[in-house]
Amino acid sequence: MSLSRLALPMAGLAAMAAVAALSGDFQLRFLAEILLIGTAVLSLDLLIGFGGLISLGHAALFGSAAYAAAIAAQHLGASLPVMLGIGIAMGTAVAALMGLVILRAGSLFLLILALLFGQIVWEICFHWREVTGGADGLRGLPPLSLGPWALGDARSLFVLAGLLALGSLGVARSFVASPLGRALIGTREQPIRMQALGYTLFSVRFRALLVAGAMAGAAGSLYPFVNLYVGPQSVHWTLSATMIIMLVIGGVGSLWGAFLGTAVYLALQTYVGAWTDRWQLCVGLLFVLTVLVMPQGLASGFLRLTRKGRTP
Amino acid sequence: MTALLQVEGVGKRFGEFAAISDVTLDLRGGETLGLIGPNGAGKTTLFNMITGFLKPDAGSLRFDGAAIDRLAPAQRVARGLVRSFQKPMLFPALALRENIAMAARQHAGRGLSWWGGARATRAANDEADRLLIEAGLQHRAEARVADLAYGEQRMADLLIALALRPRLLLLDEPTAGLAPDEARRLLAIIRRHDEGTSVMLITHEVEIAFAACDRIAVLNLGRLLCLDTPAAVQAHPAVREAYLGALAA
Repeated sequence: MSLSRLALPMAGLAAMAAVAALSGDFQLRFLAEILLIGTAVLSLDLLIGFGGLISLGHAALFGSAAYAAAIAAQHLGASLPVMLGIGIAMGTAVAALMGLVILRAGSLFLLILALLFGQIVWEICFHWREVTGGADGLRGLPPLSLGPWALGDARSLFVLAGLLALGSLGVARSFVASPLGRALIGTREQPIRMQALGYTLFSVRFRALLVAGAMAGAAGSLYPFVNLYVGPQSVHWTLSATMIIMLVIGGVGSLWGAFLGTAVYLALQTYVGAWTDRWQLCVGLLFVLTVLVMPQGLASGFLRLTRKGRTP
Repeated sequence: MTALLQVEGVGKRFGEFAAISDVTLDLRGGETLGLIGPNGAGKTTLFNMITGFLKPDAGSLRFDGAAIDRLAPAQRVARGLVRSFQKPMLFPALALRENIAMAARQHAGRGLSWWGGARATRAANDEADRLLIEAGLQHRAEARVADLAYGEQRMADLLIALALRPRLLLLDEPTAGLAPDEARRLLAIIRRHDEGTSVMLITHEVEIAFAACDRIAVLNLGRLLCLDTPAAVQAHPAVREAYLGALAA
């Protein structure tokens, strides 16, 4: 790997170390939440930004992995590799089931089928009270650990979430640059030509959905330990819609914009929400402004500004 | 010469309208077969059925001796049946080289790879560069196809099809809208590749069909009027009456 390609991850690690050293517990948990939900939004960006597959069921991948990790932690303890493994497996398995249902259709029907699939997952989580805690969700989880080291404190969780986010960003970049990623772009731009080139649309999209599921599942597996709770709203379609809003604000197809959009949304929710119940009005205004003024999202606007700043 | 493609009694209706009725024709290995006929004759519909984009209502299709009626478009491509479209279908967000490499990777069986994708990408880019040099477009390799001139886009469309190393190449009006010298250049590329590749060529430019094809099939109102050598087609009374009347006069 060249030095210039290493620069961005190194800068990310340095920023993470500085934040971890200087911030308090509340800020660190809040930032960890941004990084985990941002990772789920990043996985959604692979589908929407590169495959044109708008899914209103993405929270099912994230939330089912969160539930699976929380349930497993109650019985097996919360070992980090086990939690991550369970989350990735659950996210991938749910994505596979979802893909078999939704990828038979296109555009509007795909969106509706994904919504319905997500709501089936929500129904299971909401009504299977003995396992999922029903409407109350699951609390009182054991802290995450790695061998003899306890990772339940805010600083460790922030570092874990940061490493997961950086790793996911690297995986997403590698995916997009790979033949499979280029084929996914091809299915978005010229689906008929792709078939005439010998590609099967389902195969390309199904693989992309599995990758997105694994990534969302990994993020979901750490979420209950940061949030100290997992409930049915983590698989509800409204979270899927929120993820789309976060992505549009951050920048569809930009990858790192997923984190920017998530940060802006959650900051408005947390800080404006502490001041007024009408924080969603601010989100709505920001969403409309983004679509009208910066349709490619804040990430693209930010890049344009920095390039202008560098021009003499 | 044995038949590479056999179309037997194929028909297709859209509601009450019979787009193709009982068409039987064959294409021999190494042959260039022209498909001509007025607008609405059913030429593109026949292409769509041969390549699997439309299901025939009647008849059967065989490629290299095997039935292909039930195969999906991608499976037919894997057997060497490759097509182009009336309008260039390119990937506007990608560079010209990447457009061609997309096909080359699929031909090499690495279209869906991820790990080890760098090697597949390099090999596909080399194949794309080879074709671009052949077409004299190497200086445009990095250009986004949306920025190419129309003639360059048509050439790119052909190069994408050629990157799949077809056994049978079905070209739907490849020279439509091109200046005469651009059309000549494109036909020269097709001829350079016709060793080992059979070609089925839809064209409205009968002069091109007569000059470039070994045999010509004439369709009119969904029916095959005749299938013969260019000289015999020119002399065929039904063809002269239905299609070439003005030209022959």
